[in-house]
Amino acid sequence: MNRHQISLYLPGAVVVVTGVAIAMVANTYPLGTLLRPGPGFFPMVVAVLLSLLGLGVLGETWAARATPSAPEAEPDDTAQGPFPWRSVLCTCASVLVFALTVERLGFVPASCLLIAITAFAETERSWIKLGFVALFIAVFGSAVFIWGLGLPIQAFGAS
Amino acid sequence: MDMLNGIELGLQTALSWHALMYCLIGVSVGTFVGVLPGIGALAAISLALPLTYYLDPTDALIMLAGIFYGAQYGGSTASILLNLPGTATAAITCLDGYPLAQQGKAPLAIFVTAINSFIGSSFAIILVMGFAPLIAEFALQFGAADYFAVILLGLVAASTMTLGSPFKALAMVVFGLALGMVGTDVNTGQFRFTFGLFELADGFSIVALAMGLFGVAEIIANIGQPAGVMQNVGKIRFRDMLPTRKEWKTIAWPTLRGASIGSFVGALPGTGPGIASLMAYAVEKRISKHPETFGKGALEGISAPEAANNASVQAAFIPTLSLGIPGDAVVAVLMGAMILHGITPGPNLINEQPQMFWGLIMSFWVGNLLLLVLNVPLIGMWVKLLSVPYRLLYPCVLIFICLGVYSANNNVFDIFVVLGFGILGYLMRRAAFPATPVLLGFILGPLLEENFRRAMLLSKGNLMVFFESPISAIFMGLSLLFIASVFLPGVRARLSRRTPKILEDDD
Repeated sequence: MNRHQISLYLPGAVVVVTGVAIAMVANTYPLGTLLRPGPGFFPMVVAVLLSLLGLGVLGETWAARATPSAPEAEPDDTAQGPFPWRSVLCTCASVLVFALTVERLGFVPASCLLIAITAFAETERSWIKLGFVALFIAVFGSAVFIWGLGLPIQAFGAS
Repeated sequence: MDMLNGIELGLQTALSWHALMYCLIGVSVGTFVGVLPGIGALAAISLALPLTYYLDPTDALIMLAGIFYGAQYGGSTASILLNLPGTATAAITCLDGYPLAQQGKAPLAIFVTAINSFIGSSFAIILVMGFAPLIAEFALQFGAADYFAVILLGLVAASTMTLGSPFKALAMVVFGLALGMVGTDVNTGQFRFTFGLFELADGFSIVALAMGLFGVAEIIANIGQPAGVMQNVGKIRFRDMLPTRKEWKTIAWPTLRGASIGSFVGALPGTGPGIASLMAYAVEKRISKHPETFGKGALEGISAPEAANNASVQAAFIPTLSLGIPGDAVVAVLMGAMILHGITPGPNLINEQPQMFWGLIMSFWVGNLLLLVLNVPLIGMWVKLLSVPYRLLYPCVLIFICLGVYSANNNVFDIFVVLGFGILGYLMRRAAFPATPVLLGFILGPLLEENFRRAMLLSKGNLMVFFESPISAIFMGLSLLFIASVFLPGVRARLSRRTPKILEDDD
């Protein structure tokens, strides 16, 4: 089994593992009886169902492998290209930085940081245009969210 | 209260200046997010949700619903001009809309989609007015077991009537149920799956979940991608928009058929506009005398799906307003909005809040008329909007998403949650797991569990209770039928033989 094949089975396996993990946590809650189901009853049923469906997904992948011309081939099976690490990392970093700075440095600096970090996800960027975006966000966002809705954050400075 | 009184009361509500204003805001925002590829109605409604805390509940609903159906109008514009669906449900419109634009008939295509959207919506609104009160009255007799069965049917229908793998969709519904369990158990007060995090005591915020799975995931998927090529339409003149007499004749029947299919699919709990427009397209292609013109700019190919997706959006309010069971994921978020405003959607809604029910429905008429104005004479404005490069737009959307989730509880924790669901949503999308069922499961899960427990208590732990009451027996039977369709290869093959044909024509 090569790497490509393993990655095909990965989604189904993740679903099964998630189901088992939920079942393990649900097992720590009182199950109750059918007459009076406890807080652990429904989670347990859900966990078992999820694991079974994960097996179903695995089975489906396996069946699609066995008969490559199966009519049930997924519409999304078309080539997706390599995993876009850059987009994912830039989006994550920008949102994390925004979350960590918005209450400490204020809304405007946090937004500027977010805009600057997302810019690195693109192959080319124009800092002048992004500057206008930042200006727009600073004015519009402050007006709507801070003065209009009274969110407990400041445009500049810690809240 | 009979219908005429209801209409009168509704008009009084919907024509008050503040309702009109929020309706206009709603449909404009809806068209705006519909036109722009990359932000769907769901993200927009979730974003607007925190803004409505201070509004009168009726006004809030009118505005949020306006965003929902407004986006269906706008979605087709990007499909026609960019070959990129503005909303996922407008994907089918690309098939024939973009070829029309390449032939220089973009104004005609835009006009036809706007008119058909209006006809489809009107058709379904009439059905809502007729059926929602009837169904609500019938639903007053529902017991806990019946409710359990209806909710189950909604979840099963939503996940088996999909294009991709039914196992994946079903797994996602169940995963949504699991997410819905996080928080305090209502019956015993036990904390479940909170992992010691106090912020999770009330469960995940629906705004954070929806915006993560749909908003952030969409941004990750589109950021850094090359922009689409826009068809140069030049100046759109009204003269070019009007169809000829022959073209009117071509679109008349497809539109009505599309509207009927859309209304039916939309009224089923759990199935949304995506399936509706696909089915309408498939039907038109099958019964057409010239199936070879489809995909090359057939007018029927845009009129039927557009009528269908708008009809299904309006018809989705039938189960929501009469049973309290959302007809699709976006309405599910709207239902969340009602609950946040202290209104319990369900069969009692029409009697207890007639002014809200009828006001909302009459606002649909107002909103659709406004949309016709926004999308025919003012179309040039929206087309200009499409020339704004996405790379300048994404950071703004990301900031609004962060602020939107933050404003719900004034809590930075929710921003981390939205990011987590964003990454999850993106990975799911890559692995072809649909996100809509997760949201439906999340919203319906607590209702499902509560009714299950109640039914068990009432029946002294007898599982057969779900098959003893005739109402719940019918719904359970339907659910089993849907599940059986997954395992019966014959049914499945027929369905999938119909769908890939359309998908193949994509390029």
